[in-house]
Parts: sequence; structure tokens; C-alpha cells
Amino acid sequence: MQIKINNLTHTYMKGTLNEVKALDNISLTIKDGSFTCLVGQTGCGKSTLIQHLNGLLIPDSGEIEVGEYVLSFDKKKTTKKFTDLRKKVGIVFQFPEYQLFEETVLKDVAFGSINFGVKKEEAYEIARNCLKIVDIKEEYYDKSPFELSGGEKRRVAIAGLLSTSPEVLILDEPTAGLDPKSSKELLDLFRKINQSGKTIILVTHDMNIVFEYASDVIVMKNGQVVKNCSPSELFLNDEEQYCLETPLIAKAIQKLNDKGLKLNLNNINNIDSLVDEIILARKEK
Amino acid sequence: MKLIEIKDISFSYDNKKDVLKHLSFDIEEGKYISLIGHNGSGKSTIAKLLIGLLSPREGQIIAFGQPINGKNIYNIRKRIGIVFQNPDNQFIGVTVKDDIAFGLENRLVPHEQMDDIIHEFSSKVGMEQYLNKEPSSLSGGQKQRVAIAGVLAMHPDVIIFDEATAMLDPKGKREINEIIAKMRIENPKLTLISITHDIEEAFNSDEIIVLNKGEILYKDKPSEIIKYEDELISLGLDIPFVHKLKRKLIDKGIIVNGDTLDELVEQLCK
Repeated sequence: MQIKINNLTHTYMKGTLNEVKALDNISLTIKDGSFTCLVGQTGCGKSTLIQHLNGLLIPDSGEIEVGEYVLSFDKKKTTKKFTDLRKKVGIVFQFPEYQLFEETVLKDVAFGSINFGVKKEEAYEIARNCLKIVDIKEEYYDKSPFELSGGEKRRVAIAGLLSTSPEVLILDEPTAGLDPKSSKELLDLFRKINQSGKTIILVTHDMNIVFEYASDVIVMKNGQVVKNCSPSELFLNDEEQYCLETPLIAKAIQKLNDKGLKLNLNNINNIDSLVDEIILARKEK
Repeated sequence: MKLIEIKDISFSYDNKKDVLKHLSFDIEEGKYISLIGHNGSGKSTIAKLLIGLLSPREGQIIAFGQPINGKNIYNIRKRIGIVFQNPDNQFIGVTVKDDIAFGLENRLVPHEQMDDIIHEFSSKVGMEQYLNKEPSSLSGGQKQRVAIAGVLAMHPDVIIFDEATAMLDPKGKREINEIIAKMRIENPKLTLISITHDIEEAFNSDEIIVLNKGEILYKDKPSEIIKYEDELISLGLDIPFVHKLKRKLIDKGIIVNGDTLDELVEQLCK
């Protein structure tokens, strides 16, 4: 589902001495079916932006179109019923383990769809399917979610989000604090969900993830969008690095390029394709 | 010199399953040690045992020549500081100044000396401009810098970083790593224990301890640890990018060697 943002502005504590303009006249389009990464330093407005996307915050000016739904600073223009928007756009916040609250894993995952009016039995059936997708074993269904490990809790929270079958999934730093293996498993899961047609918006500080997984990347700075392009465009063609760390693969590509090994950048998005391109380029040389 | 000796300790949270099993190792003065292992391997439990938040079920920890017990733990804690992962969970004061003062008050530092100490350490981490600010107005990286200033003000012999940079943005992370590097130059005797998932960071330390299911698999210099790359990968741990690239190239029949990206690039572009 496409998201279109027009002239969005949001100010915290408006009219007080502590007024902070968190979003400053942002306009951008997030493509339907894209895997979009949202990056930028702490305090640049990423969280404020994503909270607008499912109506947790209301624009001070400007508007957001999510498919047919319109969320505007002007109440008259806003489509009725927030639940319609929230069914389409689901958010998993940073440390989703704090979002869990039910007595059992299964109840927790079913909560969302029951809340949206799905009958209990059907909701549990959906919950079971979603737990399967995130690879949580059946023997955990009746356990308290608080007994699970960090990585498992996150997967349960994500299953809860999937159970309401949103079109757009927003994930705020989903891999922070996870070990490399759990982190990769989770990212591969998002890729799979993305390939099934859903739009993924992922907030991250890890540029290696951006390079490897994203189709599009949005860079924010001081409440504004300073770049909206593909990862290879951002990391390989743009001189300005916006205080971001260069991904390790991009560093390698640059060094190889400087020493005269010309690689076909369009084909590289992970270490395997980098190796393949190195082999090709060496043959051509 | 051995600063801390961990002697055959076992620990269990529920008295059923041991999360640490007969662990023994020494920590030498002035070393920078990284503890790596996947979630649940026991890394943070070790940190909590070292500062006496938990006690081993079996075995003994000898810190600065004395076995840790209920009587001396307060003295030992004066010498071991810790910085946790979540900056929001370790801010105690209403302002930056109060937060750094908190530890000093606990140590009964005379009030007249406090101001000087607070200024000295807040400027070491570049936070002297923020002394009267509230924690909510600081970024995650700034909060971690205040936490480090609070720890440094205690003049500890050992500082433990429990994934202290995991929640920070790249700039915040870089700043913390620069402060750590500076601390080590200023005080070569300072011992650092870093619990981390960042494999590139771990390979910059003097020594790496690899934990798996509550046991030590390897404890060695990074250049030795990398010899076990197959084992690390099969454990689900990462290896540094350069070594990953080298492995993949060798798999495809391109023989390269070296430990840095520049060395690999040099050979590939010949």
C-alpha cells in the first residue's frame, strides 16, 4: 500500500518555551511493496514520523494518505474511524517485549484481531498461523510471554502484528540487542513478508542492514527528509554521507573501485553477490 | 597482574538449570577484554556476578586479592564500575549534575570537593555544557556519556560495558568508542570488560572470551580466535567482515590472505 505524505509538520509543546519542531514540512512517497529503511541520528524525527503513519500522532499541518485513507491536520478532511487506518498500518516499537501483556503467548497474539472484532475461535486460529510464520514452537503457546527469551518475545510481538494482517508493517529498531543469528533470522522473516506483497518500513541505525535488505532508504536530519533513494545510490554515489556509517560492503566496493576493479553495482546487495561480481570483474580484466 | 580471578563458578537463576557451568578465567590488569556469545549464553550474568548483584552457587570470585563476600562487596563495587545497555534505565538524578553526584554522595565525598570532581569528569566526556539539563532533554548517546562520567568519577580499576553502545546511533557509538580509547590512553592500568554483539568492535580488543551455553569455548587474542572461524559460524556468531569476505573468495577458488580490507583489495586488484 502506497503512503504519500504532503507538507507534514509536527511541533511538540507548541506555544511553550520548550517548543520543538520535530517534523518540518515533510513531503515524500513510500512505494507500495517496498522495503524502506528510515535512517538518521537520534532526535531527527524518525519516531515522530512513524507515529503519524498509524494515527498515534496527528499532523499540525499537512496530511498523510495511506491507500484511500487520509489523515489530515484538518479534521473535516480526515477519513472517519482510526481503526481503519490501524488495521492497515501496524507498528512494532523498539523493545516490543514491553508490548506483551497477556497471560499466554496465544492470547497475546490473538488480542489484536479480537480487538478489531474477529470472533475468538477464528482469532486463535489466525494467531496459531502467525506464530508458525515467526517460528514459535507450539509448546510455547500456553506459556506466559514473559518466560521467553528476548528474541522469542520479539517474534511473538511481531506475530501479534501479523495477526491483524496489516498492509504496512513498521518496525522500530527490531534487531537492537539481538545476537547476529537471531538478528539475521528476523530480517530474513521481514524479507519474506515483504516478498508476499506487504510494505515494510524499518527504522535502523545499522547501515549494513540497509545495504543488504532495503529497496529504498529515507535519510532524515533535523526534522526534514534529506534523501530518498536506493541504498547503492546513497552509499556509493552520494559524496555527502549525512553522518551515517558506510556499510562494510560499500567500503569494500569503493576500495576495489579506487584500485581499478570496476564492479557492476546494480547486482550487489550482499556479500555473496559482491564475491560473484569480483570474480566477473577479474575475468573481464 | 591478575586483577580478578574467577574460580570454577556455577550459577543458576532457578536452582534447576545452570546458566554458568564451572567457569574459570582470570582478568589481567590493563587489558581490554570482549565477551561474546549469543543471547542467553551467560554474558550479562557474569557481569552481575562481578559486581556482586548475584552470587555464584558454587565456586569463588577473587577480586583485588579478596574473595567477594557480603562484607567486602561495597569496597569491591567502588573499584568496578558498570555501564548498562539502556541509557534510560540508569539515570538516577534529576539533572546531569545530580546524576554524577549520586555516586559521590554514596561514597561520602565531602561536598566541597564534589563540584570540582563533577566538572572534571563531565568535561572528560564532553558533557560539561549540560550539567543543569534534565535527562529527558538528552539523546541516548549523551545519557551514556553521563553514565560513563558517573563511573569514571569513582576512579574504578575496572569498567564493565554491558552492550553500552547497542542502542545508540552511529554517531553516539563513535563518540563512546572515542571516549573509551581516550580513557585507556590516559590510564593504561584501567581494565575494560566489554559485553558486545558487535564483532568488529570485539576484534579490536586485546582478548576475546567466547561463551556458549554457560561455558567458555575460547579465550585468546583476536588473531588466535579467528582460527576457530568455522566453529564461531556454526555457533551462530558472526566473524569480522574481512574474514567473511576472505572465506567466500577462497570457497570460489580465489586465494587471498591478510587481516585487513586493504590487504585483500590489494591482492584482488593485481
